[in-house]
Amino acid sequence: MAALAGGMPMPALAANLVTERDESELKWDKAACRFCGTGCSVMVATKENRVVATHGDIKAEVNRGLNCVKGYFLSKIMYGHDRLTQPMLRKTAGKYDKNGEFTPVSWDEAFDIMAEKFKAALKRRGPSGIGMFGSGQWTIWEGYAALKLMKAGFRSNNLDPNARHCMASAAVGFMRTFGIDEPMGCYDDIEATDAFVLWGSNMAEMHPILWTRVADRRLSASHVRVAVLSTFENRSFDLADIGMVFKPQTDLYILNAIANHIIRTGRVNKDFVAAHTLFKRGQTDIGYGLRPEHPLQKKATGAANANDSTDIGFDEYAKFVADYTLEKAAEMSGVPLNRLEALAELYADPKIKVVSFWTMGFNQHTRGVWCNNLVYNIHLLTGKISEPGNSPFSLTGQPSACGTAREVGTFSHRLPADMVVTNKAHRDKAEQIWKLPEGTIPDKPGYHAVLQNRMLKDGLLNAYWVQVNNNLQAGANSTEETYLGYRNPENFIVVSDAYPSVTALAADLVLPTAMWVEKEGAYGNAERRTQFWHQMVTAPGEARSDLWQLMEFSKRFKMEEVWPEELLAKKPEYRGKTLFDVLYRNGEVDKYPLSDIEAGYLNDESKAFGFYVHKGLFEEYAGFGRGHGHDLAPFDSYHRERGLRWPVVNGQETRWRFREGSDPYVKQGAGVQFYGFPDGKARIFALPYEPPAESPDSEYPFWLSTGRVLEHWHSGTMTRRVPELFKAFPEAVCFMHPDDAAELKLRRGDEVKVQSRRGYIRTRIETRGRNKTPRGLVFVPWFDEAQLINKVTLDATDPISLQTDYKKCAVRIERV
Amino acid sequence: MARADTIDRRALLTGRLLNADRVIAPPGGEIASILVQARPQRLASVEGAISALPGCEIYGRDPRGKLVVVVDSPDAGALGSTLNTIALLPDVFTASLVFHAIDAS
Repeated sequence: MAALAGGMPMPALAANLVTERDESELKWDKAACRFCGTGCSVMVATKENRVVATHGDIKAEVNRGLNCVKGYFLSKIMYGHDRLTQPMLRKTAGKYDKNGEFTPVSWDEAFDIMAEKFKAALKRRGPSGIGMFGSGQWTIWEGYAALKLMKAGFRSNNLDPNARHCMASAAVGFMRTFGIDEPMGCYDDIEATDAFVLWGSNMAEMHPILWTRVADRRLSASHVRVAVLSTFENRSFDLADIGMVFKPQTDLYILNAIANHIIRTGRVNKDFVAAHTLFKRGQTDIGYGLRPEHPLQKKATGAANANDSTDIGFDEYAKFVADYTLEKAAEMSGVPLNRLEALAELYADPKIKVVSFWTMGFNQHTRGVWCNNLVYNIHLLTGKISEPGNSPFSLTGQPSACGTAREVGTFSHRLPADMVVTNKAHRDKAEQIWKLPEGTIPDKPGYHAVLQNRMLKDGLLNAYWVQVNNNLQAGANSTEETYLGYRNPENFIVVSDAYPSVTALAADLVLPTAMWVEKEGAYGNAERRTQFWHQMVTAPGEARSDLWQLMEFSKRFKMEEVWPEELLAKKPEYRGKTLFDVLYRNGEVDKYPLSDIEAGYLNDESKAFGFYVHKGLFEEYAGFGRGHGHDLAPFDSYHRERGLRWPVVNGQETRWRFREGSDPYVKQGAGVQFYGFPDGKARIFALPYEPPAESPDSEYPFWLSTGRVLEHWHSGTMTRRVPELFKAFPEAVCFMHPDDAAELKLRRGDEVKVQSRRGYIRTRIETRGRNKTPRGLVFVPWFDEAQLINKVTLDATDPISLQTDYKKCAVRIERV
Repeated sequence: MARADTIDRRALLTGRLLNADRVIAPPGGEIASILVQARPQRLASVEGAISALPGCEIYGRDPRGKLVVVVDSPDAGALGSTLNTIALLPDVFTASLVFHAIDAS
């Protein structure tokens, strides 16, 4: 099997391993992995209602039978012995008390107090008084059910996913350049390209299976080159032909210098540019998404119109980037000039096909949208896009950041299929599909992730529900914002989780949640691939899926309690009904009987509600995208396939969008058509270098960058419960250059305080190991709940995408 | 919940939260095959380093930079540590699992 997957012959003995097990007692089913955005398919073995093993799915195109270490531990993440199995409410002397102790309660009691608090908040402030923070780990139908509940039911746009922290800049970058979200290419580009460029992505540790494919391409074709850019040397540099450590924020400069190099050396693909692009000058001086009273915000002249742009021509654009030379880029970034030249040539040389990959280095950036726009610029100037091997490709960190957060539209400004709440036609369309009266969906964006924390702290958001994420650990500046918001006596905080995360422990009500294959699920990965799995085991104790929680909770609200009389008057037949009736028993969601469920599989939610909930929600949702570029296949086909890449038209998936012959939406004879905009053209943006929100100074002399490690996934809620992963990387450390340590008279292992203007953590110094930081920069991973590095970070965001920059703030290091 | 502790401001500020409770590993051993990609020029030394790890044997070799390793782990979970150890060896680019099974007997 390894031989098959690795493309090499090997002795039969290894392949025979499979048969050593008595397979008759195991039931094997496919599922999408529940960790990163790669979207590997795994085979899951169950026995006596327990998952006992997982291995890579040999039929899956994404991972071809391989599995990384996190995928391996999938069989164990559900069985931590502190798994939550019953609702817990803070109580004193038998009554709810925000300062009480967590006490087991029934689901009825949990929903009673929750409904009481949500109703009180609605009464006090209207729909803006309630909010929900969801996740790119929600299944597609969970995200969709939540979207309906919030935007249609409660009429509040205060819904955002943790994906806001992860790829909002990528999503807005797509919308600004192409007018439609998500990558045009797919993973097949890996085997078709001549060069890979990593812009702030440590794929070796964070996307190991894709990295296996990249390494395979590099090792099997000697002309292939790998360029890696980062603010410190990480494991991905091992495979790099061109390794580049640059000073934080200077990526903006390098990107423009490459564009200038392409123009200056006469390698613009003029036909492509003339036929398929337009030029825009973006708004500048756009601020840093800080609270309005912050001096940096007051100073920013372009903050109010951060997303604006004006039309320009090619000559103006060329003149704009003319100042950005490779020489100056080398000086500013600290990268040797010959390496920048080699990098620029990968893009400029028309004979080289190039894939650009990026993740948090670009997206978690106060100019993250700009970075995304600027990398598209260089692919568009050279026409290296939308064909096998030429691909600007934004990777994602969560299994359904694309499928649920972006495609379903669980953001404070979005609706399904790239529609937005600020557009009347889009609201009309959603209201029509949902059978709602005109004017139901509010027309202003709600509170986004960072704003939710600020509003909680300010006491303006009073009833709040968090599902599938750990935002007290993940949100920036937690000492000054998040924690105070959760514990504000004005607020009632509900957290649905499988484990007692830091966030759950800071809540008032904790709801136990079913995980992964304890429910029927669907995820959408980074290459537009939608994948389904069946429920294989039951959840422990009274744990219930987020989907059941959302739908069951909706039964507690009569329409008269949530809608004003003038809205109800337009739909008198909704009088006396509950939110559940209007949203989920609407003749669409409840259309499919239980008999449609594939024989031999559990389905707890459908059993509870009496109809095939997942199919009904999916088919209603798919109605938003079919016929205009977001087509999803019929529900049942996904249970048979190892996923399909949308748009799926006439049963055919689409591998390269915008390219005739591959994408059915491109008009005959057009060759290439960026149909996200009515004029069919992509936008090339003139955007300058602007400094970061906070830079090192004499008082706080180090850059702090935060991130991840191979062993742990995000906040570690699941991976830290696996003993081997815990043992392998038990505690966060502060990676530092040995010379910086020597200057501070620190030795490896010494305990230090990492102190910023906002807070500190205690940790230990690491001067060796996988991450080699340059002088003046330290790196601290954020998985460790005992070392909450987000007490230190700054809640500065990209003003356009509203995504936090977790990669740049100023700290000092003190011996303890 | 196994513990009824709550988080207070002091615990948050000082980082004195309890560590997460551990998974109890099921009894029995594990067996797996691992695909390793490594620097072709250093394949021999990588092979040597992997062979020295407990329970690891080399079952296949491609001079362009690939090895197939079979691991027989005495206890469940040790395999994950072995996989991480291999992935982080010098000159190793990636290590991926191809198959694993838990012997629950």
